[in-house]
Amino acid sequence: MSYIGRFLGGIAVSVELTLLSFAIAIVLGLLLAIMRVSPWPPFRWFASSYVELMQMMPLLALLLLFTFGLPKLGFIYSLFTSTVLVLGLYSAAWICEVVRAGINTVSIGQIEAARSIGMRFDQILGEVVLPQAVQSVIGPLGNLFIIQIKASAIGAAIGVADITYTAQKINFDTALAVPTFLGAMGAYFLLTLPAGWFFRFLEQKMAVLR
Amino acid sequence: MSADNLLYEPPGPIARRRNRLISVIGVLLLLGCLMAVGHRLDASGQFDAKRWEIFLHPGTLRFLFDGLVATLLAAVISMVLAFSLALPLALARLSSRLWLRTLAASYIGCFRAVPLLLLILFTVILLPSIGLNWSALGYLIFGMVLHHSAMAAEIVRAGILSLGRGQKEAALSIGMREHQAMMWIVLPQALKLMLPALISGVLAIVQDTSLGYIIPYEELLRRSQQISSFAPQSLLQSAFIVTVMYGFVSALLLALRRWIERRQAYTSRALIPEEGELSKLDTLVPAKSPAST
Repeated sequence: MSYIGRFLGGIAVSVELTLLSFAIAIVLGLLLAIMRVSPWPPFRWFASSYVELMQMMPLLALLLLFTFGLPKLGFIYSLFTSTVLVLGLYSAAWICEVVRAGINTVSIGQIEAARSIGMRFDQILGEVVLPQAVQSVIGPLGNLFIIQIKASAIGAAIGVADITYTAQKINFDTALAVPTFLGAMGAYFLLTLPAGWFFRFLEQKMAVLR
Repeated sequence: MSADNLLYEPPGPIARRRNRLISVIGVLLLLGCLMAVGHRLDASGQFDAKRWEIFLHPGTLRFLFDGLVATLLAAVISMVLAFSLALPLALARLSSRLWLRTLAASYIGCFRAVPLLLLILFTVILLPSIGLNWSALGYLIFGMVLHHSAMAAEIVRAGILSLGRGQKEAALSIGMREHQAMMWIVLPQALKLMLPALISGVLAIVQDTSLGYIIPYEELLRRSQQISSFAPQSLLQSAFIVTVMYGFVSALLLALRRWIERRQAYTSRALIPEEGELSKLDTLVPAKSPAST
C-alpha cells in the first residue's frame, strides 16, 4: 500500500513542476508574443530569435546545461528549481507562438477600426486584440498544458522525484515492472484527463458566436 | 504576417522619434545582458584556450561526429517506422468499423498521453523480461516508434479531416469506392496539406533521440557529457558545440518546412480546406510540435 503513497508523492511533484513552470511560461510567452508584434524592431528580433533558439534545442540538452553548466558559473539551483526554470523557459517559446497565432485570428477589421479611432499600440493590443484572441488561444493552450504535464517527466532524467522517477524507483524495489508501469500510466492519465476536461470547459465558456 | 503590422498606425514624425528611442533602449538592454553574460563567462575563464583545445583534437571531433551519426540513425529509423505505422493508424481511427476505430483510438490515446521518457525507461525494463534482448538503439527506437506513431497518426487524421468533404463526395459520386476515393483523391491532397506538420514531427523525433542519453545509447548528447567527464574544464564548451550541432540539423528542417509552406502558398490554391480547419491544424502544430517527452 505504501507504493500508492509513493505514487501520490510523485503525482504531487509532477503537478508542482507543471503548474509552476506553466505559470512562468505563460508570463514569459505572453511577453514574447507582445514583443513580436510590437513596433520596435530590436524587441521583435529578440523574441523571434528566442523562439527559434528554443525550437532548435532538445529539452534534455537545455536541462543538462542548466544543472551541470550553470554551477560552473556560480549559479547553483536545486534540481527541482532548475527543472521548473528550464520547462518554463522552454515552453514560453510555444506559448508565444500560440498567442501570436491567436492574435492573427482576430479579424483585421477589428484592428483597423481600433486604429481609425486613434488607439495606440498598447490600447489596441490590450483592449481589442488580446481579449478577443483569448478564446481562440484557450484550446491550443490546453494542448500545451497537457504537453507540459508530460514534459515534466524530463525531471526524472536528473533525479527529481516525479511520477516517472518514482515508478523507476518502485520498480527497482519490487521488480514488478508491469503493474508499476501501468500505475505510472494511470497517474499521468489522472492528470491529463481532468486537465483536458477543464480546458474544454473553459473553451466552451469563452466561445463567442460570430 | 500582414496582421502583425496592422497593430499600430504607420508612425508620424513624433512617433518615429519615440520608436527610435525605444529601439535604442532595447538594443542597449540586449547588449547589456549579452555583456553581463560574456563578462561572467570570461571571469570564470570560459574563453581560455585550454578549455577549447580539446576540440582541436581530431579524435574528439570524430567522437562527437559519431554521436551525431548515431543520433541521425536513430531518428531516421524511428521516423520511417513511426510514419509507416501512422498512416494505417489514422485510417483505422477514421474507419467506419467501431472495433477498429476504438482500437486505434485507444492506442493513440495511450501512447500520446504517456511521457516518452517513461515509455523508453520501461521499454528497457519490460522487453528483456519477455526475452527480447536488444541493443540500446533497439529500445530507444521501440519507445520512440510507439510514441511518435501515435503523434503522427493524429497529424495525418487532422490532415484528412481538414480537406473539405466535397473532395470525397465528388469521388464517390463518380463511382469510386471508399478506399479508392481515400487512396487517389483524399490522401494525396491531405498529405500535401500536412507536410509542414509532419516535418515538425521529424524535428521532434530528432530532438527526442536525446532521451537515448538515459538508456544509455551513445548519441550526441551523451557523447558531449562523456567529453565533459573526461575533460571537466570543457563542460560548457562541449555543451555549446553540441547545441550548435543540434541547431544545425534543426535549422535545416525548419528551413525545409518554411520552403514547403512558401511553395504551397502558390501551388495549393486548389485545395480549399474546410473553413477554420486548416488554421486549427496550424495552431495545433506550431513551427515545431513542442517537446513530446
